[in-house]
Amino acid sequence: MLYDVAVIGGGVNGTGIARDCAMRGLRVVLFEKTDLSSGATGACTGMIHGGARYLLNDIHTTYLSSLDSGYIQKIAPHLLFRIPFVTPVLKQDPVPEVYIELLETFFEAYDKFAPLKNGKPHIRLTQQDLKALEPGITDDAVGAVSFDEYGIDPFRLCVENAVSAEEHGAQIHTHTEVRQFITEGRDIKGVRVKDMLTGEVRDVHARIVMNAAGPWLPKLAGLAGTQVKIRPGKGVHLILDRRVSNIGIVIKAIDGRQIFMMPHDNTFIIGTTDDDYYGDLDSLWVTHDEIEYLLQAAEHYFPGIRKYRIMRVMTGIRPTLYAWGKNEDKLYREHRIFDHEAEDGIKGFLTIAGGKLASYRLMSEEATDVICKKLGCENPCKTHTEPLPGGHFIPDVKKMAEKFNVDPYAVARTAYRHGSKTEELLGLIEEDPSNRDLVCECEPVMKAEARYAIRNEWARTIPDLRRRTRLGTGSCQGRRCTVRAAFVLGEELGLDSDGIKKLIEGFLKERWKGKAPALMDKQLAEEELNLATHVLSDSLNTIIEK
Amino acid sequence: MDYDVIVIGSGLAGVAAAINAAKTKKVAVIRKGYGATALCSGTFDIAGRTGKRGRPFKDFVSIPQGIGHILENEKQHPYSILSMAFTGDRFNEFITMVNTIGEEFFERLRETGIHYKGSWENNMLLPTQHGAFKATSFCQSSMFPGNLAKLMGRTILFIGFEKTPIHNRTRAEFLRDILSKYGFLSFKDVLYINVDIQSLGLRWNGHDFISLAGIMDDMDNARRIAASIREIVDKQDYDHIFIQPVMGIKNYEDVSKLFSDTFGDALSELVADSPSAPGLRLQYALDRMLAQHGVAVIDGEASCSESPDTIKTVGVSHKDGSKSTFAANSFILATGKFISNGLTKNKTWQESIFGLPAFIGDQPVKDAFAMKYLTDDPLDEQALFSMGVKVDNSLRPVDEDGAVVYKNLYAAGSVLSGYNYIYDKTGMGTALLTGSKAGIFSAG
Repeated sequence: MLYDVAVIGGGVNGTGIARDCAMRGLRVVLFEKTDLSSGATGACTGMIHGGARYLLNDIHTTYLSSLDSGYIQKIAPHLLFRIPFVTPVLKQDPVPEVYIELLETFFEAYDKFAPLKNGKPHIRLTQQDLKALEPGITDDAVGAVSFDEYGIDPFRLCVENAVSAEEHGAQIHTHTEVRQFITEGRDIKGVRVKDMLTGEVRDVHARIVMNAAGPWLPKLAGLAGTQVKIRPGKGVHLILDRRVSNIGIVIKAIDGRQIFMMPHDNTFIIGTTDDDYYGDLDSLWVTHDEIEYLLQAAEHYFPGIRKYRIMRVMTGIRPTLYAWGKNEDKLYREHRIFDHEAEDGIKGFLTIAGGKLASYRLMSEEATDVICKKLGCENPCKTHTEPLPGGHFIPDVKKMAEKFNVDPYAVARTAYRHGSKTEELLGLIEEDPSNRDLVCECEPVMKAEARYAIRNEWARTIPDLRRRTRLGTGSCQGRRCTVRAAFVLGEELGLDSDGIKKLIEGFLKERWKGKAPALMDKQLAEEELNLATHVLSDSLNTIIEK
Repeated sequence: MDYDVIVIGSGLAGVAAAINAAKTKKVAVIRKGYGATALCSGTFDIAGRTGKRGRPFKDFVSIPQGIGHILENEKQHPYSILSMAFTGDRFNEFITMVNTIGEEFFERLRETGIHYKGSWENNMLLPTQHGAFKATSFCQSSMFPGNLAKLMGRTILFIGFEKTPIHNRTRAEFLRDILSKYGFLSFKDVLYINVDIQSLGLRWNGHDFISLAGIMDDMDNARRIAASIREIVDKQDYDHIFIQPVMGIKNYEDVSKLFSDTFGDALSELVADSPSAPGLRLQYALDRMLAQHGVAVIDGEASCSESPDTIKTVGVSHKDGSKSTFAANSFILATGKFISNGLTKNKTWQESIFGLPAFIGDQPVKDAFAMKYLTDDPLDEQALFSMGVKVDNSLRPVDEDGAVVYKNLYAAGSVLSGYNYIYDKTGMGTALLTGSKAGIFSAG
């Protein structure tokens, strides 16, 4: 079988391009070496913003960002949640009474784009207003200006793009790594892939190979016999177990860089850092300095922050466009599509680099336009009008809860993730009433949702389930759900006891990467219990060779 | 003087200390709540290091062998520190001490209504609700399945409860698979049957076994559930029955008797995740033990007052906001590790009440960044969790130079450094021994 397009990478760009190509009628196959949204996409702040930072230098980018934010709200209404932000002005800021005027003027201009993305116009807050809104904020804050943005679950965004692509005929293969290219002369004719779970190797032919591998894209470009440089930037977020503030707060770090503190789902995020990174992309660890940098910034605005519980850290590498002579924060989140036929004389190979989550759809559209031009396809892009699979309507949570006799809160969380597909998912309860049971009590996640993710969304490991359902991301960080989740996967995939053990160890290791660097204070109590559960009570480390 | 001895903490170590001191002294326990003991699985590990993954069970089955390994190789371990007092055959004298203190304590526990079964010679394997095993030395009699080897080639019956989230059927198969694969035991058959709690007219949330154990505290409910299990198992051919640990909490003595009257030795409880009913049973039994031995319980959070080398008083902040001060001749610190906030980080790590320096191994903890004491694999032994105060041979905390910090302060249980209960399987044994000895030392 000859595909029109083989996409490498299951991040938001890869899945976005796969969807667009499939919707335009192309035969699409996508390969992801681990899991959808397991690289840069899964480590991002999770915002669909209007691009306020480009306003002063590049108004058109702000316009396009705001426009696209509006589109994404239309195609995925269930996944978007509004996050009002404030930018506080501290008395230490240079001439604070003037600074706040400048800020307000800036956001007055940004307000012009608010209707495009259903944002509310800015409000100027006095010291008293700010204190009433956020009692934890420092007494040094003399006032603030608000603006309006939207948050999103980036994992769900990827999964829904992939599901949509599949609904339009695309083949999605996760845990499948592209090991080399099939070439004819210098031209690319396809890829040789390896299934990382079964070890099976096979060749897949395609007219165009689209390299959307994020931070791994230079490696793939190298395999294809060319070179694409990026400026890899490591970003770290701290994740707290509860909402510290009601709304997002824009703060400055010690070096003046902008950082967000914001509620996200039932957790709280502080981030991000931005540092050049040249280490192992497949083994990212967070340092003490990175944690302390973020904590100090937060403490400057929110003095009580160290009393809260940091559950874990999250980190990823931005595939920022290459630039020499700029410090990290000055690098724009621009993107570029490299046509290797035009640039290096390699036919059949494209690379997409740079960009940001909020403009994924626009970038996918541009990339697909390039692909279509090469393949002579004239069908127009419809990804801005056609809802994602769960985006057709918002279900009635109360009605669903009554119909399936399930806790309304659990339904509400499921409905956030699955939108108009919620009823189909809950239908699994009719197949087996025990599908009501909770696998993860923190989020909570029902067995039904875990099964649904395994059957319909390519979940093969517990981290895969975590990305699709938020299983294991709550305050117990996998203490209660790890083994339960392994057994659901075991049942669905027909695994033996070794397979189930491997799943458990895999998830414990994956969580540990996020937890270990930030282990302090209250989280240590949880971790003492967590290790005691998995090491001592379950004697995982003593199951036991003959 | 309000008391002769004040113990801070009412987990296993604190209670062992209190009742030993109370043999001759007037004793009070100050506590702010329950900690790791209440959260435990209700089993007692004495020795039998787990070590690296994949080690055969036979390597850690012998308890004396496990203790011998510690005395020989782990100089910082509280077992080794306690053994320093012996001048003759350290190993044999230590083993004698373990048995004497342990037997006496289990006798005291029996007086509170909990009967522990097990052995000082060999660890046993108990099946867990996860379908794995826990190797341990003693367990509550209702959890004791007897010698699993006797069940070779027999039929095992798992009883689940309606709406349980733990995939009993798969777990039962998993257990069978593991057992036969790793060559301990192979069962003839493993069956799985559910009891429908709702059809008995009882309200239960369907996944919390502690709440089901609480429902069973009512003897009427317990009788109904036992009868329902009886009815199911009578139709089956089985050799042994495992159920979730739900035989009551506060009324465990009566409920477990009802089950042993109904099923004899053929039914036992699985080891559960924390928190579990057996852990709470143990904690409540310890509470009763304090009362039986005339130990006063003061509820509140302890704090120290300025004292150069001898502690005279501790302050207590009560839940209602009031404060009081208690004087004593000796004090015992049994505040636990991280779960109960016995250790905190204040720039660097320290013990929470007296500000004693924290140690990992022989070294004071200087670095606040935990990764220094962790590896990249959570199933490795993590040094961070062996953090605690360092003590001399009389269990008195010492500073970085090895000097005793307070002449009349003793420490016991998981606030101690030098061992890692998550990995070394001496958790309850260390709490019991150091607690008992601290109680004896403090009484002079």
